[in-house]
Amino acid sequence: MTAIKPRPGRVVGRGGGATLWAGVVLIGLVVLAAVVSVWWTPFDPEGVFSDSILLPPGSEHLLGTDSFGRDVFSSLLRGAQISLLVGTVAVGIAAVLGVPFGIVAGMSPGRLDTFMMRSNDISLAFPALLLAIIFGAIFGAGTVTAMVALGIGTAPAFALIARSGTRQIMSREYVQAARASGKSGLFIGARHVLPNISGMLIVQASVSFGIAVLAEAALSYLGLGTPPPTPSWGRMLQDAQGYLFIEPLLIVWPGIAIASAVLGFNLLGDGLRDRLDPRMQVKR
Amino acid sequence: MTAPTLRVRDLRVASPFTELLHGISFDIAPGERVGLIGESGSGKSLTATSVMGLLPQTLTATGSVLVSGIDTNLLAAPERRLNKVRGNTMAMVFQEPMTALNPLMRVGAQVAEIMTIHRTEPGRRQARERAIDLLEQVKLPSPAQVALAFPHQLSGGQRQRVLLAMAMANNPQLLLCDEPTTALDVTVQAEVLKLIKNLVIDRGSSLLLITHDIAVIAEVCQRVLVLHQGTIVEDGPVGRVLTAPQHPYTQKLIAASNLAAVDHRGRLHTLALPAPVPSSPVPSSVVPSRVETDAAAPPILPPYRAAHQSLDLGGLPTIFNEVAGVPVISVRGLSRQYRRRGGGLFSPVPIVHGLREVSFDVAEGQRFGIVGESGSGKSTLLRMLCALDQPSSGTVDVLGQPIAGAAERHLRDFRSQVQIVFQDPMGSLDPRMKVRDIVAEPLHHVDRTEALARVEAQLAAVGLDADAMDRHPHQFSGGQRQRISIARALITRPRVLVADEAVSALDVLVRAQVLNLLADLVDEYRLTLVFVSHDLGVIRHLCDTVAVVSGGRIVECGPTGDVYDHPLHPYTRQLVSATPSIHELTGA
Repeated sequence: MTAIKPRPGRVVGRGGGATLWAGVVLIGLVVLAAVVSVWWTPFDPEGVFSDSILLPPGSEHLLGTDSFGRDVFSSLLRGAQISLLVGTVAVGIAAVLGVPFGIVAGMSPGRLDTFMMRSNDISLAFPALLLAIIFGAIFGAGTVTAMVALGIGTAPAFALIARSGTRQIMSREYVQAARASGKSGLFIGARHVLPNISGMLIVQASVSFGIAVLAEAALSYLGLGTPPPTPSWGRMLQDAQGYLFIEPLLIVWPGIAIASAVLGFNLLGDGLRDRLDPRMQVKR
Repeated sequence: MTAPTLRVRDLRVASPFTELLHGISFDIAPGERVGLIGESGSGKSLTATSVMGLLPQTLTATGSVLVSGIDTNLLAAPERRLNKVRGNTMAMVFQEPMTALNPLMRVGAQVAEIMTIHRTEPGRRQARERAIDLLEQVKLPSPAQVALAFPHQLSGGQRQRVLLAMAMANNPQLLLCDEPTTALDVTVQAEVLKLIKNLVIDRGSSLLLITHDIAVIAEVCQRVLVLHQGTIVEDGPVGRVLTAPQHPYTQKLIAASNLAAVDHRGRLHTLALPAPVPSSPVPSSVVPSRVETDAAAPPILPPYRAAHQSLDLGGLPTIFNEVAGVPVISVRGLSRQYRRRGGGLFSPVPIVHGLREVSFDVAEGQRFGIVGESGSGKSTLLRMLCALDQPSSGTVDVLGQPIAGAAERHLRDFRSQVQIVFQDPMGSLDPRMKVRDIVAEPLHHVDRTEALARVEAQLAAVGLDADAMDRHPHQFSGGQRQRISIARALITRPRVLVADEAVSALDVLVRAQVLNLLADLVDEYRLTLVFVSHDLGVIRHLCDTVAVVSGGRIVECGPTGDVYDHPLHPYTRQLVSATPSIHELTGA
């Protein structure tokens, strides 16, 4: 018998090239801003400077100043910290709660699965933003409250995705083979199901990350997010709203920041999904 | 000689990276039935899609495709011109009848649409009447009702008949069929093939039938084109090509297709590859050393000869292949019912009988084949044997241990003694895992170095290099993936190997190799084999005993040769006679 070598095929490149890099660049900018602002900002973004109120963009204040005389560029840099923090923690909480729930439901027999998923549907019907507002009312508004509330509110979406993915994977023959060789449910869940649904979970995580950044901005805008004087992109929007007709550029800068962060995470998610899948390697 | 219906000249299809079809040329005369045979990846479907002008955007075709009565080269024709030709002058029938029909449209309307689009019928009413007429011509029972059905309400064979009715609606000069019966059961396949042949003969149309199954071509066609890696290597009358193939590839293909022809060791003929193709070198350097089996292996038992029995209607349930002494597998009164979802809110839940009162034994060292059509219950039976599903009633004893209803923790030993090989070479291996982890998976409590050594030895035993270990499944061909599956199944040194359609998804040549490998390993490891398949030929080749399953029951069981040559049960007779065969032509 002759030995057979694996099919020859030169790996020309990996999937997800341009999309991934666009996402990496956008997120890189946000992360860079957050990191740099820990040690340095051009001006103090938290004080009140009555001598430099509503200055237009110029050589000293790169993007101008707001109604309290604070440098907009400095506020944007510092605000990236809050956005990243809220996004990471909220998505982390959501994934840790939702994914195991979904996998367990997907691997469970009919009735338990039905019960778990109907409870999930009920929580899904409850808007994350409303939950955050209620949490704010009970525990007091703040960054931590917002993060936890957004995390809990997003978890059912993760559970839903994880469960539908799990159902697909459970019907695959390699899971049957693992069962036929006596592997436990825990092993199958961890070694077969989780890696194979990770692609869709990463996409869901990146989309949720964008939504969390947006929700934090919305909460801060409503005065339920990050309390003053810590700068946050959402509150910058809220402040700028009052001067919409006097200095419209004030509303543009945080808007661009939010939009590019959200776009960046979405692109990153798409790109990562392609890159992480061993089947998506471009071959010839 | 009249002008050919189809004239293909120097057809080349290329992807951005490489050329897939290397300039093929052929003619099809009016009324001629031509078969195009080749392995997967040989370019046979590309040929059909280029002729129809349905190539994917990423591929480019050059050369010429001329259809009689149309003076333009179809490869260069604009889409609007092609739309007039497709479904009118030439029509195509696809492999998968479910996806080829619109699930939201009644089938009668879909057939009528073909005629209204091409304006071959003056009005909607006439088109609808003619659609019913066509459905009757493709031998569908009560065509008026079928016309009102949605595709999902029909069976696979019925859907394929509807597709044929659509294809024949405008009396095309040329009918292209791409693997039209591959997704169908044996008995249905025979009927559909006969129907295709008769329809084409009645209308004087030409036929281009694409298939991987040489027996199908022998049944329907007059001439055969053999396609190998994008080149036509042989072209001739079916009888001549089957009996005296000229090209080495064709010789190899026909030798491997013939499951009845074996060498002195009972192995299929897999002739050496002709000159290796430059793009995919097949190294033959290392002959892997076989793993040493236990020194004190028991002597090979003389094969147990089963009694030939058929289902006793009305009498006591028969115990098939009853073994005196301790059988390896003993199944008694096994039934499995399913509750079907849906049904009315207040009507009782319909119960589907997957298996009814099945009783049989399998003796040590026996090669037990289970053959049946889709829905017969053969896969349900197999799942019970592997304790992947629980029976509604009845018992399954394997190696003296009752497994029906046993808790998973009591099945440890059973799990290492009974292993399974699945059908789909892609779906049965986790795409995210490396081969080393896949093969090592059934091992419990074995330290990593030892596990790796065993994996390497096992891969060598199935003919794979050690450098396969660090690769992912998608880097292997179908046959290689099936070897990996077999390695995984054998790594625990099981006593029973259960195979579910293990070679059904493979090309003929690869199938022969894998069948020979399985036979070798069964001998070497002294396995008891339970092999489930819809393919009678494969079972006949590999198994010494066969059980025929139909409607959730074993209807007949006995030594393979006896069952095939002297079937007792009417269903077995039907099944055996429906299987397309090349034996009459090759005289084997």
